[in-house]
Amino acid sequence: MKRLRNFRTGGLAIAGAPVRLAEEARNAYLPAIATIPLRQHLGPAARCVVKSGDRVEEGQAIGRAEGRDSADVHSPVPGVVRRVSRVRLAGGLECEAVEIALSGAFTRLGKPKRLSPWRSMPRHEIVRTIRERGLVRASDGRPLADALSVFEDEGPCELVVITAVTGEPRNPIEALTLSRRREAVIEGFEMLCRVLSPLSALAVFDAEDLGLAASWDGAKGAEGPPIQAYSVPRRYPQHLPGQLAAALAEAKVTAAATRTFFIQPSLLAEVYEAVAEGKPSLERCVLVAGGAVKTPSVLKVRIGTSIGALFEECGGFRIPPQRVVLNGALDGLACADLDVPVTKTTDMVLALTAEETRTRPERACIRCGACVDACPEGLDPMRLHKLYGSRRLSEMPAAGLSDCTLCGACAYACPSRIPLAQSFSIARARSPEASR
Amino acid sequence: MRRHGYPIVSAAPFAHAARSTASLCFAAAAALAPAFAWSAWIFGPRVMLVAIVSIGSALASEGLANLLVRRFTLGDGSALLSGLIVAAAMPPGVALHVPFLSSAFAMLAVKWTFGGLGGNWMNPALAGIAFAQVNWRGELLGGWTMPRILSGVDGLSASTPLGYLADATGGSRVAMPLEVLKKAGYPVSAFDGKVTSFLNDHVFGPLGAELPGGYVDLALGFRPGAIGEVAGILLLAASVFLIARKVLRWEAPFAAFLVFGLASRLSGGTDGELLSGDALFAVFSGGFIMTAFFALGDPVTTPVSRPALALFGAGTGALAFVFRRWGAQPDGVAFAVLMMNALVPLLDKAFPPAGRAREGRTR
Ligand code: SF4
Ligand code: SF4
Repeated sequence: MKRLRNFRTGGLAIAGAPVRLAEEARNAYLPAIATIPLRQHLGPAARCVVKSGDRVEEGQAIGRAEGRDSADVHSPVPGVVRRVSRVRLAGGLECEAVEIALSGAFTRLGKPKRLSPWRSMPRHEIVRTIRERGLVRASDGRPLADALSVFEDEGPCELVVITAVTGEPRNPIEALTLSRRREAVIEGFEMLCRVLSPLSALAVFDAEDLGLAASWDGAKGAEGPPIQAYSVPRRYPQHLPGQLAAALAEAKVTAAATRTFFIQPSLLAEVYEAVAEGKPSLERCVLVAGGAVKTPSVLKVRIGTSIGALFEECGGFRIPPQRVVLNGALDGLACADLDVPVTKTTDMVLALTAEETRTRPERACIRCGACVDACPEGLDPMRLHKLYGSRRLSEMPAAGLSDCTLCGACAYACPSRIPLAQSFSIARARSPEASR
Repeated sequence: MRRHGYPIVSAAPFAHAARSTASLCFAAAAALAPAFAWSAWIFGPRVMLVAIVSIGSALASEGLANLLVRRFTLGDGSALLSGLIVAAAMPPGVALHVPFLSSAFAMLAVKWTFGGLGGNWMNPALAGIAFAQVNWRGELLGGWTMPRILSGVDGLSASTPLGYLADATGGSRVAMPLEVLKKAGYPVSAFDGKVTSFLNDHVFGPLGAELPGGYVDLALGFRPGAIGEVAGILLLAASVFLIARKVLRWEAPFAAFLVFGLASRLSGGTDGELLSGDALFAVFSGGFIMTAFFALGDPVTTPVSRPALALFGAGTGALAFVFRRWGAQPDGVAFAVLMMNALVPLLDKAFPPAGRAREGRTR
């Protein structure tokens, strides 16, 4: 087990002890009505293939992928389609959604698993199965099958990096998956190796999880290279692939241009379930936390469950939250209400108190340089924001916007609470040449 | 159903660092409070009156500007801090219209003509102080009073060590200013005598050195001086505290101290003898400590990157020395900062804040 160092400049040391949790994810109650958005991925919404009144089985496809970066959507519960409506997702995006009233028998839940002999499958068969099961990479919303085939098209894979480091240091889900579901992760990793045939593989851990890292060092399946464990100090946004690649290159573990595929342990476990057990993406492990939640927990939740139901299951609110956020306080999405459903990319629901958000009125820039010090990319957010304010968007890419990862570290640090990252994402959206 | 209607703000982050612009300003203002309290004890309650007038005028001017531009910034604490810094440079016995008009000038003419906090290129408080020094020389000179501990009464007129020295020596400079002051009959407190002899017996004596009388008075503020500037020791303590809490940045003040202290030490006496100057006296008399920390620590009117800050501080230290030695005012440190303020865009351009890591990254 080896240690890596952090990036050279910037980043945030985020205080806050990890949430103390029960050993394992608890099964949440099944939703009486599941609201399943047809867009749970990066690309366009899936095409709805059911209509109101239809009876659906658990795991039956209700939406078919339409175009690039779109994924199939399956019914997480057996029941009857109540209606096809619209739902507002976290971040304010609206999309079509299928409402399913729970009824009838589960075909999968609680039944013995039938394992398929995947070791005799050729690689394209594995990719096809992953595609059919609608697996989506939570970190960027890309369907895993698309991510794999695009990656394969561009050349051979040299390295697979399993990232147990999370953006929100309090999120224990990846660590839980690695410790409780070791066999599933290893077998999922073997499947991935069948597809990508990487030369080497490593796993990067939070330096505060050294015991777990040691237990994984040298782990090996029947296929694929052995997994070497590395640890990296806890610092935001260390979880980003670019930052991990830089840390590995800095430590001379890999060359900077190594073709690397990054994947999270929980997705490897999902790959295993999809390929070996034939299980589509139906449920998620979700951390329910934040200062406003009475008993923070990790719940195993069916997709389409409203986040309000999750909070209720965790004892409700201790105090009214100031903000409800999905997938991390620093790079997540705000929820307008508690009807927002859990999707394939949800891994965290936070009900933040005013002490946690520390919202203050926006003030003028005092040129303090805190944003410059916080930026892990070595950019000058103050200057970028000045260009944005004077509507010189076309100059922003050259001033560093192209390297900006929208991590939000600058805006976190700004004492004047200037929405720096927000301006940068708007500028990105307006001038497409700014995005890489 | 459960529509709680939480306000939706479109983009992350949804958590922030503890510090805010207002908390920084209030922390700096709070750190100045002990120096003012000490000063009120030394010079009498009029100190508080001057402070209240100066702060009140700054807040009222800020409020007026807020009404005009319809943007409310009184809560950011910057006006309070500016009012305090202007008051700090006032003599205890000054006529009240001086702090009043100086603070108003600082806020309205210097800060708000450029659009308020963040827009001004000149440090408003120092501009206010310079404004007073230029317009009301007589009022300022007549405002110095003797500490009660030395005179036994409130408000006895006096002149500052710097002014006194200038008079006593006819404008020429001397190597041992405190010696000159003592010979000229400048008072030294009994406390100074006690502490000095204690230090000489137990600290300096064994080291083979001797501390002359008067420095303890100088550091503690037992001498005529500006309200917030006399108690150099308290200001140093406040500054160390603020630097440790990262409210003030250390680079510029440090460089200013280094250059100013060295220059004062190197060129002291009339005879041009090297290494004969009195750096301690130079630093502790006048407004140097106050300005070095609270004006050079102000981010708005100083550069951003570390090398630029260090250069800015060094330049201020050098100019402050030049102005004190050859300038028309006994204490020209405010003018030194204001001149350096004009160079900030240049320094920012020469040493841009970021770009260090960008070259190193291969992507
Ligand atoms: S959001 Fe962009 S500019 Fe801000 S810290 Fe992250 S990378 Fe730097
Ligand atoms: S952190 Fe905020 S106030 Fe400080 S320089 Fe950056 S944008 Fe300006």
